[in-house]
Amino acid sequence: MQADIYIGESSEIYDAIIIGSGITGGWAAKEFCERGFNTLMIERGRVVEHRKDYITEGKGPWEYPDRTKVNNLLEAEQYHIQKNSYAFSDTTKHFFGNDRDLPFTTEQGKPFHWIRGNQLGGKSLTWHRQAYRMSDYDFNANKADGHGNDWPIRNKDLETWYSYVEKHVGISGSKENLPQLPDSEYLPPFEMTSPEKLFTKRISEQFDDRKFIIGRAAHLSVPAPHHTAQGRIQCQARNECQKGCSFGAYFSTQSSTLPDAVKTNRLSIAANSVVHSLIYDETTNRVKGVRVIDNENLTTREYYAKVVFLCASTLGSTQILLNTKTKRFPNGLANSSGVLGHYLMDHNFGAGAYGKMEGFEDEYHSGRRPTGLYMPNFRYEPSRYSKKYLRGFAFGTGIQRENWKSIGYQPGVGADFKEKLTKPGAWSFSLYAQGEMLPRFENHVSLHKTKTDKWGIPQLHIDCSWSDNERLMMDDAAEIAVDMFKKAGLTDVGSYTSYRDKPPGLAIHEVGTARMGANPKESVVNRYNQAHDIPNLFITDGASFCSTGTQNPSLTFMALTVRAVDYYVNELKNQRI
Amino acid sequence: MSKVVTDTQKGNHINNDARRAFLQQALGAVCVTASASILSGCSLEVADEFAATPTKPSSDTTLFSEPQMTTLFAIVDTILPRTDTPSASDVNCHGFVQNQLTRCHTAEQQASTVAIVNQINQVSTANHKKPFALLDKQQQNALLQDLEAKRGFSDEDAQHFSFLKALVVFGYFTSEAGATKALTYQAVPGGFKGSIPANAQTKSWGSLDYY
Ligand SMILES: Cc1cc2nc3c(=O)[nH]c(=O)nc-3n(C[C@H](O)[C@H](O)[C@H](O)COP(=O)(O)OP(=O)(O)OC[C@H]3O[C@@H](n4cnc5c(N)ncnc54)[C@H](O)[C@@H]3O)c2cc1C
Repeated sequence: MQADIYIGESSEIYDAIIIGSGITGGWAAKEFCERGFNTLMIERGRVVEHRKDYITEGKGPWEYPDRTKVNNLLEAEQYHIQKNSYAFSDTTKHFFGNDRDLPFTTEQGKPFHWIRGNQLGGKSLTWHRQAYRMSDYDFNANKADGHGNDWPIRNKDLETWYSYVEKHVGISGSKENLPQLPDSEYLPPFEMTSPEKLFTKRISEQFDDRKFIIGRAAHLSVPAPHHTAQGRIQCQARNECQKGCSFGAYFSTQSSTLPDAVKTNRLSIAANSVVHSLIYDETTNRVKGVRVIDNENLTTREYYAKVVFLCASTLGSTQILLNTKTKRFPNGLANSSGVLGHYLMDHNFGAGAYGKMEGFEDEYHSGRRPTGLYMPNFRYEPSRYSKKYLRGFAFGTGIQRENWKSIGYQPGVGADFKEKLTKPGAWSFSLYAQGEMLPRFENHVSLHKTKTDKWGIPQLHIDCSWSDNERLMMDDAAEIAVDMFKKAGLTDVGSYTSYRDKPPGLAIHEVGTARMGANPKESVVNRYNQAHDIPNLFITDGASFCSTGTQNPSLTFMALTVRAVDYYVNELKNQRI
Repeated sequence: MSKVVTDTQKGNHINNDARRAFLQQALGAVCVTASASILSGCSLEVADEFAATPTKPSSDTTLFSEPQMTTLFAIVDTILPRTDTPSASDVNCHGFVQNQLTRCHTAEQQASTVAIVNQINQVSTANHKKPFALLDKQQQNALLQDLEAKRGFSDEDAQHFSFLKALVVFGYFTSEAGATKALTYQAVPGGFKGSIPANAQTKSWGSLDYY
């Protein structure tokens, strides 16, 4: 990358400012730059360059002082929240936010695990690449059962934008024609193992409404020419993605959107630039730019632009809006509705089951597939709801032959035991639920009255918890998982619920807090992610969500972002903005 | 603006010096800019709040006394003896156990592991009039099998031993020889195949996803 794209101070008035460089910021940058806009991307963290800065990539576990574990002291001092993420380890910790430097508070008795990635690329480096479209059942859910506000959009509004981003990203998957999970544009799916095929077949035979499909993942199973042209190559099935991938085989800002933006020569990046607040002009009712504090030396500077896109992640964006207080907006910018900060949601991973499938000892797999199987939600409309709770859940899976990690807990010592540890064991299955969380006003974030961070920015205060609906859903999901495993002929079947120990946040699918809606009195942005109150302000990340659906959300964030850029560009062209 | 990765982010070993250096750096930055910052509250108090709470040094190598280390050495080799691949002690699993316990496990886990090592030696001395390390291979095997079967040992002892054994197994198969010689290591598999033939000789993949 040319060195001069990284800027310090600048008095230039950019065509567009994008706050954040993660999944949404990367897309906004690509779109604006390719449409001829001089664009400034502002990122609070350090620069991470593709390949060069993947400092743990390809290392064996023996090359870490604690064999991939993070030592207690470091965890306690700097990562006491991040350590709760399954993907946090010594191999990935440099791509997770530092809890000492990035403190936040939670309501007494209501923990929330805010998992972050604060560097160029954001969480696009560490995400799990699962990519699913939302369906009209999801967009209609709030309206159908009266919880939350109606999404002002439906699938027809997003369809072409989904296709557009999918082709560029590269998503491996299979066409299934499922009403609740529209198909994407696909690269070939990853293969299933024989036990997975048999399991899938047995479930489909016994349940009309349930089907396991191969997980749809943003991986180049077979790259298309435009991927190869970007230097991205076929997925090598290492499944060590969260360390960064020099093959560019999974979608990240670094592998996919940033190179295109840079190529235009219209992109500047202000890294190590913590956005404190937006600069708002009362007389024109426009945002003019942003106030930034240097990440490292804490000096302040400002940047200016004609439009501002907030892509700082759901809670990052809302924190910036809340911290922008003006005469007209004493409770946070673009908050005339009073709902800014409210209706925070995440997915609930709090239940699952495990079991074993006998046979197939003469089969193994080769390579580490970066995706599992997936069962879309079968309770996707009120007529299919359980009587005990609203909405539904999807299932993800982990299916593999046992290895020393579990065999090590079986009895035995000596040479025979050692031998056993080196051989693949039984095919073991696990299911985990990914449940919808209802939008509730009381689940909200605000700014802490007195506590600030080291940049002097008020800390985010999070007040969020599961409700009975989520708990009942997880109890049911555990039962359903066991029932399906038994009917599929698995043995040693058991289940668990973990919602008591696992607070919201851990799914890392946090959405809401600046929701979209048709009515400016009860929503922050309109159907194009444009602030109702301020025409040149857009919030295109998960903050704009009205409900969670059961799908991993980032593909929808991408589609919303490119659609918002397109809308803005047209409005500008037609001089309506 | 150039890329900056701070040393604290790079370093795997966070020792007292690194922490002190970081603190100095953080305090320094705050002092320099306290007056320059127009926005708000950058003060020493704020910096203080981010200072690490003092904890004991992270690399304590004295969890096991020398005699206890000798017993541990014999235990790890009874669990995973030398065969056509190295033994647990060949790849320093005893050292690994001490390192890992001290750096990555709780005080209770440290204490219960030391206790089970002592217990094994005590039972050995009571039954055979010899420390565990001096028993012959068969006696060592039998003693640990009794422990797992809770013959002359409590449920709690068996649990503590199970924890220790899993730690030894982890240490072994994450060592270079364990991962690449005792198992088959695929650094770059080149793609995923859902089905390949396997037989009784097929070894597990040593290259796993470490979450
Ligand atoms: C381990 C893991 C697994 C995941 N798996 C999946 C998955 O399988 N599928 C899926 O759909 N999603 C998944 N996610 C979630 C996904 O990563 C996020 O939804 C997505 O990255 C959000 O995109 P974003 O652009 O809104 O935010 P981010 O990618 O988080 O980027 C936001 C950027 O804004 C910057 N920023 C924040 N505040 C400021 C500020 N004040 N000033 C300047 N910059 C700021 C941040 O530093 C960051 O770089 C996963 C996440 C993790 C961590």
